[in-house]
Amino acid sequence: MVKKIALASLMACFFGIEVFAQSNEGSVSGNVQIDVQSSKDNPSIGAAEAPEILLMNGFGNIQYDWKNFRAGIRYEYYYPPMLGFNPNFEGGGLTYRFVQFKNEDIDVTFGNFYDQFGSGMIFRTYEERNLGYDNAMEGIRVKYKIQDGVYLKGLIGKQRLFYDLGPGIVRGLDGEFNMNEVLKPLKDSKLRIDLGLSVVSKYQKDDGTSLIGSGITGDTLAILPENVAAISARMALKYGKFAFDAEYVEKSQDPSTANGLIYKRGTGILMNASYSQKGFGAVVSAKHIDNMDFRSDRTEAIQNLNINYLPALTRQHAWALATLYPAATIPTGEMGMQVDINYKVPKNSGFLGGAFAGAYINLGYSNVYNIHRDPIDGTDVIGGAGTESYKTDYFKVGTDSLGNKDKFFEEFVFEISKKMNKKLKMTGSYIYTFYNNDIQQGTKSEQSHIFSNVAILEAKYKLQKRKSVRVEAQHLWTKQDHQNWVMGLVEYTIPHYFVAVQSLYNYGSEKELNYPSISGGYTKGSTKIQGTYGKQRAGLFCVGGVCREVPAMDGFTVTITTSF
Amino acid sequence: MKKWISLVAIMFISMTVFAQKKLPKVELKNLEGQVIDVSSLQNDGKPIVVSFWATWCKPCAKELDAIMEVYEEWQEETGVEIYAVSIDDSRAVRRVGPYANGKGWEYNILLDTNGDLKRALNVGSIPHTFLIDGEGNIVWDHTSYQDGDEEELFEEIENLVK
Repeated sequence: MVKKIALASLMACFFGIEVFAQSNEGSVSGNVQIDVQSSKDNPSIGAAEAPEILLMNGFGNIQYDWKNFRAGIRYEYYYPPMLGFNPNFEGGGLTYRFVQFKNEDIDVTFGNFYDQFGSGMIFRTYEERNLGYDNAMEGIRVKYKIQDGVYLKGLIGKQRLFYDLGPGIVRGLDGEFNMNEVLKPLKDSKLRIDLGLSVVSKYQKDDGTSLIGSGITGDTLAILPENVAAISARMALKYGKFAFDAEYVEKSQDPSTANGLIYKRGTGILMNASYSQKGFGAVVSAKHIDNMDFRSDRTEAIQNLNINYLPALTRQHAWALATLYPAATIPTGEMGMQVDINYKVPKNSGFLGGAFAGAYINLGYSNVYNIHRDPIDGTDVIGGAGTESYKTDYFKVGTDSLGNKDKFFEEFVFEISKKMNKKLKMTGSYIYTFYNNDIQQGTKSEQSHIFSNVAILEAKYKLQKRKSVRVEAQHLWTKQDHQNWVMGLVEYTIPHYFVAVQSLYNYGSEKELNYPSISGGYTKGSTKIQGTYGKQRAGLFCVGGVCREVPAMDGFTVTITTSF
Repeated sequence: MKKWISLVAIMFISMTVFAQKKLPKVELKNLEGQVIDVSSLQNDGKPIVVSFWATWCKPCAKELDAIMEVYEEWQEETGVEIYAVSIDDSRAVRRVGPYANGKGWEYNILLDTNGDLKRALNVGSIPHTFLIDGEGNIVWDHTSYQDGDEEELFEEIENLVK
């Protein structure tokens, strides 16, 4: 509390001085979002029982900029939280506050901040307000430019956990070196080389209570490492149209609830290679993640207190039915690859009689497998809690109990869009997905392997200047899980306004589900008011010119956003 | 709590005192890996457009596709320069260059992987587009994209160069 008051008075000083000084250089800006929801209890569509008639989420950011200073706060409230949000959010508070000084060489932040080192496999704090995700640091961060091309970053603090901070202290150091600026002979080289090195350590006291519920009790209490360190090295090369980058991260022994209290070191490898020129772009990526769950509280799970971020090498879809079976990274171990190709067919192409001239084509493929695990010593049993558990082989794919490759996820995507004439634009897409339900959901189910095919057709027709209608038709086929889905959407837009009607219908299984809804909205400048009434599936919801993650509901939601 | 309320009040009061907003001092990388200070962006006194997008955002792609069709005319008439700021995180940031190239976009692409510029400009959901005049003042902004919204943006750009 003392800390809060001190920070408040410090900030009040800055603002106070400014108001009275009547400087014309300072500026205040911010944004506000308010969500109001009312939902009936409807477990069949996944809408949980609401504790109240009205659920409200909201937040407002205000920041102040003056010369080299910036300061800001965010107030959040959840009275009570909307469906899909952790009930621990119930309440409100100033969850984000910072003061920052920045000039050409130095950048100092006190209070809360978001940052990442490299790809984030060693350290990343970020927020996704509409998903209720926020692992912001509270502490101090210093960035220093030693010379052109040499950037150092140091930080220390604790991470946000709802309205509190996690128990662990997180410390990090990152150096980034642009070799073309550092080494004179490379100054005008066509080859660009960037290198980076990071160290992150966390401290959490071994207070003995951490082991409750783990199966290890009494005299077998293990000694938990209070300091856990991680290091990473990365490089990025670019030569004309080619680019390559790689990152390696290693973490010391970090027995935790998430990894089953094993004492194995964690490792992560991520590599990308790409080629692109105007009209064509291709990327190939590969990764191997082994025991890399890293949190500032060894007993935490799900979205809480993650220190690092393990990027999923799978497509982030924006089509409703394509988001039914999304892959999440399995931090205890997974390996996979991704290919992505983008091509714009030249306007004067004669291929197939010019049918595809000017079209945009995208092809994607990705797969994710379990990692290979060998017992440590002669025995054929993978060790459990309190042991080093296993060793892995980067070049072998994990197998299941029958000796088959243990596949977690696989996906093939094809998409084509083309402007047919001045008024009509069409998009078609086909997506094949293999989804390992047991792994992705972390539970045993009757049908663990779900194979699905999705076909999508979208047409956008311009009725007259700034008046258009958009139609989406989607179908998902699967013999597993809830079986088939069909979805239709019609959206009509005129300047500042839109109205959309959509329905998702599930058929083939015992109980058929229908999710009809109607949405409408008004936009002016940076202000948007939008409402949806009906039944809604949890997932990405794209109408009215924006996409956002929404929880399942049976009722209405009104969202107001503005910035100033 | 009272302290905070008075602080918020002070901030609102000071808001009415100062209005001119400029691009904040935030460093982003371009596709070449070079560090660009956003506050130093300039276009010889001609307007700049900063548009936030991501590879997973369909309305964003629609907006940038629509502008691409008329970008040449816009540039001839007004000299406007467009910066398309991707907020893709490390999951998709390597796709940004090949994606933009595959789309045939000729914008200056900047990578806001950590969301620094997004936060500094109070961007909630994307797309969100800002128009900056020749003196570096943010004169107009707009959230979301509906068909034909780019015409409104162009009218605003034309107003600046008249």
